[in-house]
Amino acid sequence: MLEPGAAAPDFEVQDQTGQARRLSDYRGQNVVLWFYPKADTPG
Amino acid sequence: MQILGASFDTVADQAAFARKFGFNFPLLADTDRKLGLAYGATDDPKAGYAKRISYLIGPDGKVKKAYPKVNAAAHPEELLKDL
Repeated sequence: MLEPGAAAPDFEVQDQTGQARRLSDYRGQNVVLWFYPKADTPG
Repeated sequence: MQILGASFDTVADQAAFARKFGFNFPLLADTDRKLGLAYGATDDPKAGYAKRISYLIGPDGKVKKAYPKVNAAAHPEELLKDL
C-alpha cells in the first residue's frame, strides 16, 4: 500500500455512467478512495 | 470531500450496484486493475477481487492516511476523525 505522504498516483477510470474520472479532477478537495471486493457485496 | 468507490467490476455492474443502493458518488470500473495495482488493492493483474482497503487523499494530492483493513460500518466515523 502507499504510505502517508506519498503522492497519490493519478488515474483515469470510467465510473458507473461511463464518465472518465481522474484523481486530478479533485485537486483541492479531500478524496476518499474506497476499494471493495465486488459490486453488490456488503462493505 | 469526494468519495470514489472502486472495484474490478464492469461499468454495467457498477451501474446496477449504484442503482440498487442509491449511491450518488462515482463507482470506478477498474476492469484492467491498473488503479488497484497502483494503490496496492491487488498485486495480481488478473485478480478477481480488490482488497478491502481505502485511502484518504489530501487536497494536495498526497496520501493523508491509508486504511489497510476497512470495516465498512466503522469506516465513515474513522474517516471523519482523520479529516
